[in-house]
Amino acid sequence: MGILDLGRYKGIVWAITGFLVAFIAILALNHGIAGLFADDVAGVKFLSQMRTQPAEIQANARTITERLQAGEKVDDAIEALRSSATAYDHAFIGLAGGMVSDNSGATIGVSALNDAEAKAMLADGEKVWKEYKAKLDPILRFSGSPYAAEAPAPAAPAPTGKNAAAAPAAEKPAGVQLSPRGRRLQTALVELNTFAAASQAQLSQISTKLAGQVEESSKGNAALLRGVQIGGLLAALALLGALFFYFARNLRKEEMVSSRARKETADILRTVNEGLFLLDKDLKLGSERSMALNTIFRKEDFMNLTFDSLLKDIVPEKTLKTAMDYVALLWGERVNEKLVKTINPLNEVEVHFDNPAGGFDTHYLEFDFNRVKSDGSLSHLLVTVNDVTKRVMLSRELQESQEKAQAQLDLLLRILHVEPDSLTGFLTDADVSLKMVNSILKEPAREETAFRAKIDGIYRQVHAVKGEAAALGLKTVEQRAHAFEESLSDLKGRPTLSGSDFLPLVVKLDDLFNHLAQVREMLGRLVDLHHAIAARRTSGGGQVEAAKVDQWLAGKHDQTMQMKALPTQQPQQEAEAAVGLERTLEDLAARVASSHSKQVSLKCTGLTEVPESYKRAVKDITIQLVRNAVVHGIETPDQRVKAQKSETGFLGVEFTQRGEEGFELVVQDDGRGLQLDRIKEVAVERGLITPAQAALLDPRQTMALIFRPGFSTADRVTTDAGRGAGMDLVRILVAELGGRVGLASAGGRFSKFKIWLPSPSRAVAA
Amino acid sequence: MAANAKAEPLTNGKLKLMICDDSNIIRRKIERELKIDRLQVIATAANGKLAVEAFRKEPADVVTMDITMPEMDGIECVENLVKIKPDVLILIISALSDKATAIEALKKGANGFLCKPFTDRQLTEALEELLRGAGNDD
Amino acid sequence: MMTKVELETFVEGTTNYFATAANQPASVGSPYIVQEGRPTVQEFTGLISIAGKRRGIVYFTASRPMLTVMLMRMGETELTQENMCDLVGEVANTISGNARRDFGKDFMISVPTVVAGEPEKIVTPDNTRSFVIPINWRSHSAQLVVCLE
Repeated sequence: MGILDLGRYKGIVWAITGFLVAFIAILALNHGIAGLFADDVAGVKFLSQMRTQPAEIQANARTITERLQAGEKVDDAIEALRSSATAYDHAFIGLAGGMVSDNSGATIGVSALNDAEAKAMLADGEKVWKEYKAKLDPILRFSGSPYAAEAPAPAAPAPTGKNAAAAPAAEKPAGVQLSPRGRRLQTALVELNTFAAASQAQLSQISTKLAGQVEESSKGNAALLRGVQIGGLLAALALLGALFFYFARNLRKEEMVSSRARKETADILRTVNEGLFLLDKDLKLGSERSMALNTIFRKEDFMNLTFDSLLKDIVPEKTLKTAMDYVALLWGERVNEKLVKTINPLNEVEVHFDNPAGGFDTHYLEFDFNRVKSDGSLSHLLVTVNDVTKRVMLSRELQESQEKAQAQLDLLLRILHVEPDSLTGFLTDADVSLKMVNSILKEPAREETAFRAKIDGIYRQVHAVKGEAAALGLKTVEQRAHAFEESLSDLKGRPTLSGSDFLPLVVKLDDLFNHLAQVREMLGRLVDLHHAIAARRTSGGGQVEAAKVDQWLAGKHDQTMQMKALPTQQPQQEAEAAVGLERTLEDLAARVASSHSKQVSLKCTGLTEVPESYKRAVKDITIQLVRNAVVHGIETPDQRVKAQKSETGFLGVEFTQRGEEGFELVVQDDGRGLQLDRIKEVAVERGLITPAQAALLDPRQTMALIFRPGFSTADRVTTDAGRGAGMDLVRILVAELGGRVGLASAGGRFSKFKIWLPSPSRAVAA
Repeated sequence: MAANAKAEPLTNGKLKLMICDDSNIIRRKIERELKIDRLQVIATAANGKLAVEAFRKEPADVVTMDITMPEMDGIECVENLVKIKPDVLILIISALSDKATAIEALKKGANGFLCKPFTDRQLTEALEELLRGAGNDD
Repeated sequence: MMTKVELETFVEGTTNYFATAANQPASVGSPYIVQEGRPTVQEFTGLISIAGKRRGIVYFTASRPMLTVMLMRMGETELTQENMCDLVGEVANTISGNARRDFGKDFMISVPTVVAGEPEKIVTPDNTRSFVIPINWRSHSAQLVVCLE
């Protein structure tokens, strides 16, 4: 703090300085006036002495006269007269300049002598004294003896007591003979005595008057002094009062400022989102803390709580111990606060709160510790607590999605063997389905019924995608579609529905779109690779540099190479599309069979004859029926052996034209057939019918149950079957095309689905 | 353990640094990336035992210390170094697998902690913070 | 990839505003995706930009009639263009505040900007799908659009 930088003490310093200056000024004034007062006293004394001086001169003159008469020696008497006259003269000279001499001989100015009246009086006195001096002059100039030569020398000193009586100057004792000079002296003495007698009163009066005047002035000064003293006292009192007022006001101001600060602190502590508290050396929580703590720790009472007990119930013991060690370290002087933040064990700590409804609520809290110093030493730790649950969840989600993305790529690389054209077809279809899902979502909805109405439509689209993906062995797509279905089932089961409930759906839809885009990109590279290999073959024995293949694999498309390869590819494409479905079904049947430990042989006929406009529907239908047949119809090899059948089940898919009218699609297997009792049980379990109704159903009605929405006989929900949407989808697809479904089954022997579809032109007309 | 080591300052007025880490790569990395003029490397040690021996001969002012090392680990080493020279500044440089272990090293007298892997800048900042003073937070 | 938590946070920020400031809760409509082209933009739009782990924009767009009713519900008598801009800005601000609270460390979130009309001023990142979440309030419908890479 600099000298002039007094900060908050400026006021006090100025006030005290002012007080001292005023005090010194009053003292100086007091001293000055007291000096004047002393001068006046000296003046009065001087003047009263001066008043007696003419009498002294006169007495001395008379002594000379008496000596002369007695014929005594006059020299010393003249000397005495000279001395008294000189003193009186000096006094006059001094007074004329307004100065007097005190006892010690120092000269003192007396202001009272300087006014006009005093000057006039002095002038009068001086005039008289001038005449007086003229009379004195001849006497004082006298020297030698005043007597005639025969006169005897004085035998003895004159008796001093005799001069007290003022005898007439002319009187002379007999027998004294004066010399002529002596006679002249005697004459001068007679004149002087006469003048002195005449002027003495006047001179004395002047002195008296002057003294009176000085005394008057002295009285004035005394009054002034008293006034100054009283004034000073009053001023000092006033200053003291002002100081007192000033301090009182400042105190009040400071009190206001600090109470405002306290209020602000309280406001901050009440409204701040972070949990804030102070820890003292005993690790006790301070009394000031933010309200957010209540929410974060789910308690109201923090009085006399220790840090240890705050954490005890919500973190594991080991974490607690490490945390207490860490806090203890912060109290030590040795560690560098900034360099230990990374090992703060309570940075993002998982805590568990008891949930009144049972179980635990897991949250993530972030503690931050900061040293608080007062007067240079560590007084508290400021602890900041934040609930970072959402942040942690989010970063986990992000991490998971990154991991997922990695997994996708790995899987995609593994499924590269999938036939490119099947894949292209699937991607196109899936894209159409997902766009359909999006347009269903886009339909404005406010009421719950509107939301509920969307679910089934979305479900069918997603289920179709799932089926095809499964058929192609696109596990990653299938898993996503399956998760989508799960969300939909979850929504279906909810008592109320709103747009917020649909948010997970759009997220999953977005994920599917993304994923399919990735698959498409991979497919692009795959096609390039195919072409590269084809080009290598045609160019005859590995002429294409390996580097080119690497480039394709890395996704760097080579335009010229692609152009060269494409023409050979083009003509085959038509035939391959139909072969595509056949292969898809074969793959599906083999895959599903192996995952259920079954053996199956699939025979497809006429699939190349499917009209363009039915391709999609036929694909969806056959996928559903083939999967169903493998899961539900075909028995395991040992069951088949027991039933005296071959280990390998037979599955036939047949598409044939039925005259002008339309087409017939037959899917049949030699499995156990439809188990009517099991179907009834499931229908009752699913709440589709009551037990009483079940008892009344005939076989045909029972079989029809499998086409009802929500029916599934698989015990577990898997991606292969279950969920019950499969047969429902078949029914809907057929109905959409204006066709019919027929079903025949014999227990233990076979199941046969017969689907009739009108010819496309008729379907449009219908 | 008597404090018998002689602590003569370097003639160029720099502070003496010892690097203790069992990884040769890390030792070289610290040496190479040391961007603080006030520090001069006087010794490197591959384990705690060697570090204590080197420290006895010539105690450093600043030490960077790994925790998991053969022969003698970082925690025991810190304890020994502080006994020899109580005002030594020690920065633990270790992978953050177990915070409790790091805290243990701090309890023995280390001053700060830097997490592996670290960047050139993080190392410089941590060492500068260390030199600014142990226990100082302003 | 957009996560559920992110989307919920933005939606919550928006509905929060209606529940607290407009004295009447809004309902969330059926959300959908816009694959190509621009998502809906109405007359007034409050927009925040996001950088960091995710990049893109989030905006709230509403019609003049809806904002008029909102202002009236809030006791505002001056149904001016400025006040409507203010209002969508406030909604964007609330969304931003919510996002800051929840993903503060991962996202950098800009201060809201307001666009009146001029949909061409709202630029979504290329090749990124937008999520459109209708916000239904009384008979009106506004949109919350989330477009993050």
